[in-house]
Amino acid sequence: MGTTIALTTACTLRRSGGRPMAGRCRRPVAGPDQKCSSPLPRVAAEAASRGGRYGKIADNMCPGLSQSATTGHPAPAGGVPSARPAVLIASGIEKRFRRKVVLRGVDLAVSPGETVALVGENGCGKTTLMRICAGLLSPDRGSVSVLGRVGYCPQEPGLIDLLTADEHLAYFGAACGMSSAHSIAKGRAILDSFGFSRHERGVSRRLSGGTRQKLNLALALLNDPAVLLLDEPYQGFDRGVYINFWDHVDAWRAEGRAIVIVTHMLAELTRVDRVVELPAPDATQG
Amino acid sequence: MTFLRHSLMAAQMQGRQLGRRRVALAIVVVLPVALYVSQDANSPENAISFGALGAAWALATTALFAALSARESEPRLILAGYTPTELILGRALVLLLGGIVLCAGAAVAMGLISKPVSDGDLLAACALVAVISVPLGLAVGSLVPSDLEGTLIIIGAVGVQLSLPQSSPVNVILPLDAPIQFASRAGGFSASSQEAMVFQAAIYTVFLLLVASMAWSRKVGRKGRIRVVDASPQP
Repeated sequence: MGTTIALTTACTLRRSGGRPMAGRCRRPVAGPDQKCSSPLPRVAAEAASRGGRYGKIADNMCPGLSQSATTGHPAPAGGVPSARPAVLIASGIEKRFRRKVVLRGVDLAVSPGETVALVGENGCGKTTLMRICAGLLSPDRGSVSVLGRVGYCPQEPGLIDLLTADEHLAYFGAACGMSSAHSIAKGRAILDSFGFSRHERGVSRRLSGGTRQKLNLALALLNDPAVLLLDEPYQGFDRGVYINFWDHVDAWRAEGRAIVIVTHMLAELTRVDRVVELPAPDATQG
Repeated sequence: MTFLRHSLMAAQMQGRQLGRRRVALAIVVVLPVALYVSQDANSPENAISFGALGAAWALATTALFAALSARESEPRLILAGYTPTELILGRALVLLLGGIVLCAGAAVAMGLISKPVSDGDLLAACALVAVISVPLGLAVGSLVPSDLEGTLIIIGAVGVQLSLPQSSPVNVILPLDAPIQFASRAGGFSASSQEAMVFQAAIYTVFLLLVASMAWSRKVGRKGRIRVVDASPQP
């Protein structure tokens, strides 16, 4: 019951905010009069009571609460909320694994200098959507357009066990035409900002989980991406590094990067511009 | 130029990874020696064939695991700007180079111990082992779902080749037939024409490389209907 009330609050916030939703499901699975089990509306209400860091409360707080379902106004093409053209546009994305429908009619558009949090239950397709946006997975239907380079930080660090951090930097830097010396210098600067110890000279399989994750994140940033896709990139970070991570997100946003971040950390949702919640896996069946 | 630079970088990094697997490298050297020595005492006429097959087994398995261990990381490298062909070419280059060094050493050792009828045939056998085994391992690594299946396939291919008599018609369809025929010639047994064997080996090598490249591109390459417009300035 309390959740329902909070949902109403979230919808009111969204109306008063007047910002159209960029990430939405084409097929609403829960109308505004339906109960929502998501904890997000409560978080939004709490965030609103605190004022919110940017004063931008999550727009899409509940599965299926599409623009038309809540305000009756049609969403703009591509769902772009900003006057700036979107650098990442995913439209009509559908994906199923055998009989299981993971994504159905998902649209997502992200503008430069915008941070979007992608949230949802386990198995709802967050990572699948990120992989599709990165071009690592083929959607069954729909298309993705990206303006500029993409930096993708997967949930599991896709590192090469027997290469050192410097070798990773040289290897990935060479992909976009950087010399080894330049890649290493640039990568070390990024790693230093994450608190990566210069003493970590061993191969990556000997690094701790958090240290591997710092390298994972640095590789995503090495080629100055216009679009950053971060899939729970802070796993293994200690508390200090985790807090710094969100400061880095602010800095990347200020640099004009479009950031999509998969997160379960509801307390940090006030630090993003928009929250897009994917519907629960069972809600997309049928 | 970019293609070459990327391939050489991939080869360099593959070489560094392999160079750090010292125990595996030791086994790669010991395996053909062990098979050769085991036969040299009992049937010296087959020893060269067994040594060559041991080298093939070791090289194919090394290539298989090199491919399998790259599955997690290479999609990201491709996202960063490499192509699957550059990556597989770099891997093939360094493995071929290592394979040729291994087989050259094996050829010298077997030549000194076994005193073959034809040193040229022995060298050809060892060279073809390197040229065929590496693409074989890469192709299997690109096709199988995991390491167990790949290892079983390579054990099966080498095991069948070991157990079949030289006269069996099934030999022709096995990938390592040409080097084994050359090894038999070196021991003074096979009457097959050298040109036909080289042609057969060339066909197999090209076929396996094509399979490896296509399957690898399909497995780790960019997928989907993503349209990337590169608006960023080059560094």
